[in-house]
Amino acid sequence: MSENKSLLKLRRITKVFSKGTIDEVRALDKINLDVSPEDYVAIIGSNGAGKTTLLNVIAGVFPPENGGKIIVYHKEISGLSEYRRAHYVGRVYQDPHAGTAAKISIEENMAMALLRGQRRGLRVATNKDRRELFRAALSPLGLGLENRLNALVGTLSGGQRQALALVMATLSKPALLLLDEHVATLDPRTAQIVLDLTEMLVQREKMTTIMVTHNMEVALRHGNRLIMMHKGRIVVDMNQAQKADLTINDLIVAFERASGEEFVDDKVLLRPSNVVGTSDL
Amino acid sequence: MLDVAGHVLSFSFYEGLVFGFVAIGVYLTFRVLGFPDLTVDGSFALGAAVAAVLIASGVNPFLATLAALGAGLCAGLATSLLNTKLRIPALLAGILVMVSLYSVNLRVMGGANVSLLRQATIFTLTSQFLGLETRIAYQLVVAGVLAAIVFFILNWFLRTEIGLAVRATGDNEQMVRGFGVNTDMTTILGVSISNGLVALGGAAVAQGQKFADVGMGIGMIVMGLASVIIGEALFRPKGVARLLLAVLGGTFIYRLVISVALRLGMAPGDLKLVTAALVIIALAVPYLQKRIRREWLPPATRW
Repeated sequence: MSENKSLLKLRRITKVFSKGTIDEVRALDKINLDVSPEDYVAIIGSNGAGKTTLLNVIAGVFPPENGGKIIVYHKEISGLSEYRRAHYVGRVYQDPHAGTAAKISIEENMAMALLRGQRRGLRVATNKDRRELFRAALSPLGLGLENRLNALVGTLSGGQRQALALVMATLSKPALLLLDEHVATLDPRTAQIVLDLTEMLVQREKMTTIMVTHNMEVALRHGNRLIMMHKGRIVVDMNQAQKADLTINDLIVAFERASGEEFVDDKVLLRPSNVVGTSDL
Repeated sequence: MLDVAGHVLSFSFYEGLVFGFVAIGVYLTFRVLGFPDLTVDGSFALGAAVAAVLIASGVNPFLATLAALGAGLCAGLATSLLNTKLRIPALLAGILVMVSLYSVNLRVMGGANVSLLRQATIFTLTSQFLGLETRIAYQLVVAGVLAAIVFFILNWFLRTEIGLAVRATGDNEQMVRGFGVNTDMTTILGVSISNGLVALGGAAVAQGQKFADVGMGIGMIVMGLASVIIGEALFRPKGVARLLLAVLGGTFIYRLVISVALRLGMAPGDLKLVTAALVIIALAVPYLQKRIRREWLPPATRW
């Protein structure tokens, strides 16, 4: 994982919420991360570990604290606002409603996605060629969406919308695909379909992907790298070989060891179940 | 009797077209952008004031009407800048600009009203040009042509890449930003166009009635909402073109109902109360229906 080959470089990314109040939370704590081209990174961690905050900082929803650097393709994007980063970053959210627009049609949603990061002009947004392209992108889903281009997205089920959101996020091939617990709200069967679809798209488009998940099994089965976060830090980072024979139990042990080490000082003072806050910082 | 009916119908049709600009403007903000814009009451009178003053000072009525549209665009620009750049809530931003416009309109007109009696208007110029004598006939022609132009431009614009981004902004702003669109810009664009249309309506109405008055915008927002709601309920439109036509149709029905009510003896002063009641009923019925069916309902939005 040589550094200059990295597609994404994070340097000293810190994010503090409610700064200066008693509710201050250090959601990210001096994160350094290098992601190589075509890496498929699965990030796990408990609630409040900073997983989603990390994706939000990469996507530009809010800036990191001073001194943090986000570099994509040797270009620093830390100062760019969210919409200016869209060219580099595609994203699928946990909520199927978040990645699609309900009151416009499937083809209009696809047209929004097609022009990711490009200048939008006064051409009519959908035309014959584009519809052809949309159909070709939708038919591998096997959901029949390619025959319903005029249907309003609000009429689709949650699973269909999430599959559509995934296709939309990857349609114009951003450098980086961020998946934020994107199957967490789906029923197990639909979740599996969307995960398989993810695998197919990531493989086919050779897209560099970061997937946040709560599900350890998903993290073990998907991706070529596994990262575990705890209290705003990366505590475990395994490559393909290291995670190959891992079981969920191994992962729990690794998690306990990693988080336990973090809390060595606290344990002296508090029972582990009471460990809250950010006193280890 | 038939004569009266014909007159009421054609007059409502004319009013449906000129007030239709206001309704389309309201539709753009409230429905398309999800931006509850109350600038409307002010920008309607602004359009009337600008057009009337320019015409009274000898400017070509068509140019004056175009200038009114421009003034409305500026009013919408002010409201949307307050919202997007200074983060003032949409509702409050609209009220602030609406109130400011009251003073602006008094300044523009140099008083509370401007008369256009014996002045050339877009209507009288056209009647001379076409040789149409009946007032309602040439008013219908002019309003119809204006409405057709607005319809075709909007029907095209809302389907362009930029127009689609404007529509999607009202639907899912987060997603739109995620695809690289500056949603501040799409909001500004949408609210500006909306108020430009409202001012165009004001300019047309002032020329039709041959005077502009500082109070003529009062209640326009409610009238626009009533028209939009009627249009949606009656025509259940799908797609941009049908939606625009439905809003025009809704305005026509609304004006028709009002004309008939006035003929049957409703006091003109009660008009706004009746309109507000109409909107309240239209908004409350779906809620009450769901309550009866014991469906879950979200709490009221307070914007």
